[in-house]
Amino acid sequence: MKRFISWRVPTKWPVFRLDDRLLLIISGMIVGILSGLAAFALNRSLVFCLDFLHSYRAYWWAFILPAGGAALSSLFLSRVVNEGAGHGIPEVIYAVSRYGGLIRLRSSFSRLVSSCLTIGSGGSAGPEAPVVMSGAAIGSNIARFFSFNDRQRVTLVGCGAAGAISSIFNAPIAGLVFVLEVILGEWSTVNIVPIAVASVAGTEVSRLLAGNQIAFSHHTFHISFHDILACAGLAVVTAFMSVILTRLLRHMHHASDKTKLPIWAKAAVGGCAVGLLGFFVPDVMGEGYHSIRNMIEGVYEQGMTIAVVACFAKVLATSLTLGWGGSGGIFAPSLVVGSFSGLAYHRFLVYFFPSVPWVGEGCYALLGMAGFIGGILQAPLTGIFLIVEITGGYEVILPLIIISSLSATICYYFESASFYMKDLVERGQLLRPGTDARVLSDLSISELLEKDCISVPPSMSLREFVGLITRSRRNYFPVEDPETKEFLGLVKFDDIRPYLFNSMMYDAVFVEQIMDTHVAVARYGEDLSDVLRIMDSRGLFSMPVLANKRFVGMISKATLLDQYRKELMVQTYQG
Amino acid sequence: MKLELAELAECLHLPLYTVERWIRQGRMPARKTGSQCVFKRVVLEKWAEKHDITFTLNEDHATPKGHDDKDGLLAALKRGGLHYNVTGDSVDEALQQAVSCIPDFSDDERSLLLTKLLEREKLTSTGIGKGVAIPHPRSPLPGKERPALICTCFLKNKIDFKAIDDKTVSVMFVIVCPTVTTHLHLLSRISYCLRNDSFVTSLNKPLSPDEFFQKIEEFEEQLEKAR
Repeated sequence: MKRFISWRVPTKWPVFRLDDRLLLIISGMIVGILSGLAAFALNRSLVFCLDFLHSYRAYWWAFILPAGGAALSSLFLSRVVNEGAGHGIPEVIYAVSRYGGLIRLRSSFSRLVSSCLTIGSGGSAGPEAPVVMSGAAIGSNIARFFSFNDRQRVTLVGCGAAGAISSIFNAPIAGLVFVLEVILGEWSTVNIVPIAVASVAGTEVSRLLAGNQIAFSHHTFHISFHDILACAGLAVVTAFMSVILTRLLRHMHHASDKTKLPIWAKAAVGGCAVGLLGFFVPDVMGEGYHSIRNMIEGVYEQGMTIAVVACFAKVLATSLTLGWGGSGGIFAPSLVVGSFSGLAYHRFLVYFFPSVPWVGEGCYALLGMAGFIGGILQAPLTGIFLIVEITGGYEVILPLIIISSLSATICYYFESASFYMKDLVERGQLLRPGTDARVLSDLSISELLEKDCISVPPSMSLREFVGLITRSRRNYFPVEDPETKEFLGLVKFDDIRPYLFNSMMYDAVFVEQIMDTHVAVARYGEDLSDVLRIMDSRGLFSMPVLANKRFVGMISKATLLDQYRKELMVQTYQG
Repeated sequence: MKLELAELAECLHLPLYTVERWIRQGRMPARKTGSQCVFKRVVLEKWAEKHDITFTLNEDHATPKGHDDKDGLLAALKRGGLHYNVTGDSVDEALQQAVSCIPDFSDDERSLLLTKLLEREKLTSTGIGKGVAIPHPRSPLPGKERPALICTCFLKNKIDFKAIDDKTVSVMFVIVCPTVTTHLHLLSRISYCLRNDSFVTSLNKPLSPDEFFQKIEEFEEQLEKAR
């Protein structure tokens, strides 16, 4: 019987018992393949939706198409699968840092369906974040099925996300770097290998099913020195645009929160607005890869003004779609806005410096994408590798590095946290491994309790109490009601020191007269960071902990430091 | 090997919850099956060393400790033994005689102990009044660690010990302890006994070993009860 069920627990197999690396690599590969399939499925359904709705776009009422799609998608999320809106990546990051990567099984398809409805009907959003979410959910649930521990599960979540990104862009390194830089936030050898394997698996799936095509291929660019110099200016532009998109999205979100309408109606309002906008600037509809392709190939015909307008219109359309409850990510819109900014910047350069032999506008569109991704995600490496891979343009690597890192740095001055992290940081939920917040959130009060305190009844005389001091190892004595066992107060050794040798007082004073009833207490389940804040503000070194009004132990800074150090060492040890 | 979770936590000197969480989070090379942990001893020892965590696998932690520092007063008194008619007219002579009575001591140790006792006597008298003195060295004797002993000497002649109450001394308790904590422990116990006036008066005439030990046993029982 034991042998029969043991296949569910591969960590117990003799091969993997000592070292789980091989196990992680194998399961990472499986997760990568599955998330690659998920990405392919979403891609195909999007193509189908777009084709299906294409014939209706010419009608005057076409602007309600995005409204319908967004409303359906938000109805599906809120009523059918009971999940909140949002693009999914912050949720994955939070699950990784707080719950050891636990993600619900339904998340593996919910976002795929809802984003397909939103984007397929013309909403301005990207399919990447939903695919990352579903890849991560696939990894998490496979890990749960095989009873992996938290660390292994987090790695598999990373594998899922990496497989998804790699598959959707046909870009294995970008998938790997994105996961390490954005999702996990740590670079450890134990993680890198399985995630790299998953990236390869995801890429291979997409190549097998869709062919090995570079998403945005182009002619060779010949970069000169003045182009590299001009990058600095483009970095400022992309940083500016990404700050605008971040803020506008959040404003839209707040505005929609304040509006008293059903969720689906809000999404419909956003969708309608996008549809109307699409009448005037058709480039804003959908994920927008088509226009990127045009720009990189250098066949985008409109002038600078139109490019600038399209750029802002895309920002507005994305905020309207996502801020009002549509489902999807910001990856694809970021690429579109980035390439529009690059294009507009190029037109600007050519207009004002016509004699300089600037490299083609496609190259600037490409650099704009890298700058925008680097800026809005504050993940310069992801920007660099993604653009290199999706354009196959290694020759632009020098300006790419400069623009990506410059843009990320400039953005940092305006927005201290990236778009994905901002909400998490505001809620105090960004818990990167090895940080103070993470250590404190992992430690719980129950691990720090000192239980060797002696409780005393309030009616005890000072004489008896002094006798008790000789047997105690602590300086604090909780006073408990003898009947209800409720905590009444605390006697501190320091408080009674002056009367300790005055035997006259021994029978005249009782414990209830010397106890401190206004002592700051911690609750059993309270967050450690809150407890520490109280200790710091009141200058305390230890505090009694109560559960259900009863004393359970003391918590002290000395024990905390001891445990904190051990926890930090265990969390940050590499290798 | 297999250990209960609580036992493993004890070996690592960590709270139970921490060990449980670390196993769940995969931060420790151990696996949980039910309430038990399965691990490779070598791997876990290596892990503990790397993370600066003390790992002491006390396999014999079920067996009681061989020698308890805080051995009772009675045992120490029995080890030191009762000695009657100890001669000497001065403090130095009496101490020399008392030291020669101590069982199982080599000559070197005896002379070292005597020097230390005299040194201590020079500082202040160990005559604590009521005709009793408790000579002892200021620090534990170097060399081989021996269990604590108290040598009870009934003096033939009463000696002027320069005691605090100026009474001449007829009984000496020579206290020799391996550690300071044992010394304090035995000192506090013996002073508890000497607070009892009837016991002190009975010491004026030499008691038989049985009588003496019985009284001490009674005192110790009282002390245990008070705890």
